[in-house]
Amino acid sequence: MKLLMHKIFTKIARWEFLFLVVLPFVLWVFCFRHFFTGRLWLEEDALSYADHIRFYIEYLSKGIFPLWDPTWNGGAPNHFFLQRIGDVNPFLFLMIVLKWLGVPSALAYLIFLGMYYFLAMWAFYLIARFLLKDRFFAFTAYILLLFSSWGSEIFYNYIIIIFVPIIWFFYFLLCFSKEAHKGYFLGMCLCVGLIVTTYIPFFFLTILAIFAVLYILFYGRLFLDFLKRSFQFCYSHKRLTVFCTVFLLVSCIPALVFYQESKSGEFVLSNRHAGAGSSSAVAVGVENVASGDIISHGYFDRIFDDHAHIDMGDIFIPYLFFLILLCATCGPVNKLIFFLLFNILALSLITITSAAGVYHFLYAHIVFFKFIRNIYYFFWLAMLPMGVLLSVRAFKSLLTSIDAGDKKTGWLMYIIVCHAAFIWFLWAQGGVLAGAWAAVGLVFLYFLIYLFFEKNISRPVGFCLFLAAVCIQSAQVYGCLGDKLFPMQQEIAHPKSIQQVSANIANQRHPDLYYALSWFAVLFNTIEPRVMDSYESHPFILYDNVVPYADSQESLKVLEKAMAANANIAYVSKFESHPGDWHNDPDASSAANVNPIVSGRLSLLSSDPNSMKIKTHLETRQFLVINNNYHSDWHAFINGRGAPLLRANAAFKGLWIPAGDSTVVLRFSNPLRYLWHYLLIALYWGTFVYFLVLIKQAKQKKFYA
Amino acid sequence: MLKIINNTMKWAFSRFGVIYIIVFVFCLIFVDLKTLDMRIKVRHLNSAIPDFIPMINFSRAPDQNQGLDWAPCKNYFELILRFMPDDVVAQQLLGFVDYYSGQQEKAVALFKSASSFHEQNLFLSNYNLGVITYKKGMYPQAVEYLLKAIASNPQLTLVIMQNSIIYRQIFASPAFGYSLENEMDDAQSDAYILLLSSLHALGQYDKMWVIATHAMAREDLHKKDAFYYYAGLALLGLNQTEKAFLFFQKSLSIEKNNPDVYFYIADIYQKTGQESQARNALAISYALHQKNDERFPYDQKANLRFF
Repeated sequence: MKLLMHKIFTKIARWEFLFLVVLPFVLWVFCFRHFFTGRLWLEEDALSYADHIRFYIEYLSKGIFPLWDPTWNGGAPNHFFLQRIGDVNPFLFLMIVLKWLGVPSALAYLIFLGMYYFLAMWAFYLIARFLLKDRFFAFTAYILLLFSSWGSEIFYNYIIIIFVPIIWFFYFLLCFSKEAHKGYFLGMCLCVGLIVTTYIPFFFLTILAIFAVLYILFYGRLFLDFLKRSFQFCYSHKRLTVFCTVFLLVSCIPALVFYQESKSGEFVLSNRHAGAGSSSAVAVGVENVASGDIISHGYFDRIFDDHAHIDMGDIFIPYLFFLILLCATCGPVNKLIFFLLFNILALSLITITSAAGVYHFLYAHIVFFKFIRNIYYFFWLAMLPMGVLLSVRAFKSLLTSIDAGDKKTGWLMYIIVCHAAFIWFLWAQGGVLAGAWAAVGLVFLYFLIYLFFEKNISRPVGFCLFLAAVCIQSAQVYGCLGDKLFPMQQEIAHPKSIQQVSANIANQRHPDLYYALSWFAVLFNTIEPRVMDSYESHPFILYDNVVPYADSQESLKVLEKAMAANANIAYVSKFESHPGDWHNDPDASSAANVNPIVSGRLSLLSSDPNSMKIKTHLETRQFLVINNNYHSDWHAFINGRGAPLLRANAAFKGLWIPAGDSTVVLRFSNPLRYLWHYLLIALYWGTFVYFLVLIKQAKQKKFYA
Repeated sequence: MLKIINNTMKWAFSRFGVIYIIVFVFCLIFVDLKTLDMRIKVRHLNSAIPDFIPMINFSRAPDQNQGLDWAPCKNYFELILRFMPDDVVAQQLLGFVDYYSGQQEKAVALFKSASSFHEQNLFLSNYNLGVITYKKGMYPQAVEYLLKAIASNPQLTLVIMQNSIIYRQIFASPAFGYSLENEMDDAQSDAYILLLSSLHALGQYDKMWVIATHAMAREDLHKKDAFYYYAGLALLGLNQTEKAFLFFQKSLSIEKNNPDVYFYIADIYQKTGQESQARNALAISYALHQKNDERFPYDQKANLRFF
């Protein structure tokens, strides 16, 4: 049997992929079917990211690169969100293909999420295969990570978009360390490029730095050898090295530009920035970090209990993990186990923030730590995958130890004691689900079969028993999660009380200002919500009078009164306008024209996130205020000629329109910037295709390392 | 022997179990376990904070809020007591929850435990114990607790409440729109009423007169009509009918709808031979009784309080 399996998987590599990688993933999809069928929705940050990705894809499929988001808090530059989602990522374009195939955008996004998760887990399987050098142990590690609550994280936050390039980078790094192939080298560069252009690269930098330091300590000679071969590779592949260097430098540009923009003061992220002590708006105050560390997420104290009431973001690791870890106690250790352990310990010192001094030291002395808020991501990005590898490596050592000895009865007693201890522990915890007991039983059965049957039986049975143990427990746990989420989400969708309806409306109208242009934030926090709502309900307002004001709180109160009364006065900052922009007509009517479209003075010819075209027909020269936020990158053109655009009524766009018929065009940013973004996408696509070609060559040699 | 020990040590340190020792030592050296433990507790507590609205609404109108799910509040207060077993505020609040969720013995034990703070009597716990014993007809015990309640320093209770994180969470609830000082005055008035009523039930009219006099003299207390009424009852018990009549009249000058006052006035009229006035007063008393004004008798509406 073992021989047969070996033959099947060795001769036909696709079968290994199909049975050991795809099949468990299909079972995972079954566990999370309610998300994929739309019964359950995305939660928390995952929802916001889904919106931004859909917004980007929606316009990109129409040939528009959305650099401005007119719907976000009165309008805001989209760079922040583009950087977060990784706009150059070629995999995002899968959604465009699905859209063209007629798949609804919500489902297309879920398919993208599922596919991306699969990519991450596949890379993990390959890494496990590389390090453990055995299909069975790689499979065990794979299903442990696949069915852990990493899977629920993709519906809860956005770390999957940074995890995929990070984990593939490490896979290519391992492959490159073994064989300096061009495909692996380019793969590493592509992954680093994606890491740099997605969210923040600092998680990766920290993980890599710790990995590198410990690698030097544990495998000093191998490291020197690796360095030597890497230099030799670069020397012998000069063109590829230059290309990759340029590629990485170019990839850094959007992040650097964004960093510069974050210091301009035009936008704010007040919640996270408070107390940061840095001029960059994206810096995080040290006080805000504790809420995002590993302790605040309860990863220490909720591993075993509460699975019946598990919530999104909670931790769950199949019990197979703990059982093999426990049973491995008497197994031998090796260097890899210590290496993984010290990586985990080093990262854990950072992730527990205030419970160890390391984080605060790093925050004070390493610049990029000021930009990391959700410290607990280290757990999902590195600590858990490394922990799984460590436990499976220990398990492998145990089995090797059992094979080496002949005292089967002694080992049986030992295994019984370990299982009994675990059962006793679970019993003491209370509230353990039936699936968990089934998992413990199946793992015990595996050990029995391993001890008393030949390997040609125990090995194939082991695949099935482990898969069953993990699947049964996970299906029940995620079933409980679905049962808990469904009524909660339904309550939000179909509120039962008036109070809840009003709370929902209030939240929609006045969401937390996570990211907003500074002047909009000031206005938002100063003007009465009722007045603001009423004012913003008019997209265009025509004024006869324009007066300067001092951008002070007192002036904003005057503005509030004018807004509430629809007074025929627009306010422009006296610091950003000239006397020529001001005008006071005593004979003008007291009320502004808040409905110029209805009165036939204005018609909107076209609009998209980046531009707007308006036709005006005015009897006299009037000041038009467009109630979407002003930003210095917006440019106005009247009848084809550049016109001054002012920040009007504190936060909005305003400009003087001459009498008669005019065509007004407003554009965000300049054509070069759009061209740059399109070129960057093309560069990534080109690199990706080249990578696929190179990796196909490597695959023909030996893809599974 | 040495060789065996050496081999055993070698074997032990080459086993995976050594990893657990490393982690343990690592935690001892690098991790501030106190902070870790404290933060885990805080996280537990934060995730268990209940919605206090039903509890607040219940305290105002228990009859209209029956069938309340006490579990979230109970879990929260129990969790606090797990971490801080001596927290008088949590004991007092859990006592309130336990009483109304049918665990009266547990509630009494908690109130007793929270009845003093640094040897100073606390108002709310003693008041609640007074209410519980009064409702059970255990008047001597009720007198004992209620005397402690009225003798306590209300400022101490207020300061403890205002400095308690749990109370701050309760005050932050949109359902909490009350003045704490007013509520405390109201609770003290209720304590006096229950105490006077208990003394009346025990027939201790002289003590009743002293307490009523004390209550009438306090300007901060509400429900003065009740104190005049109980003063009248005390004097009636002490056979000072004329004086009692005057206090009943004074009670009526503040609150005209108390049927019991008319009843006792009718009694006085009858004893003094004024039959027609007695009949009139009885008729008014009967008519008012028919109205079922829920404010009367004064002692009927006294419930447990947590603010």
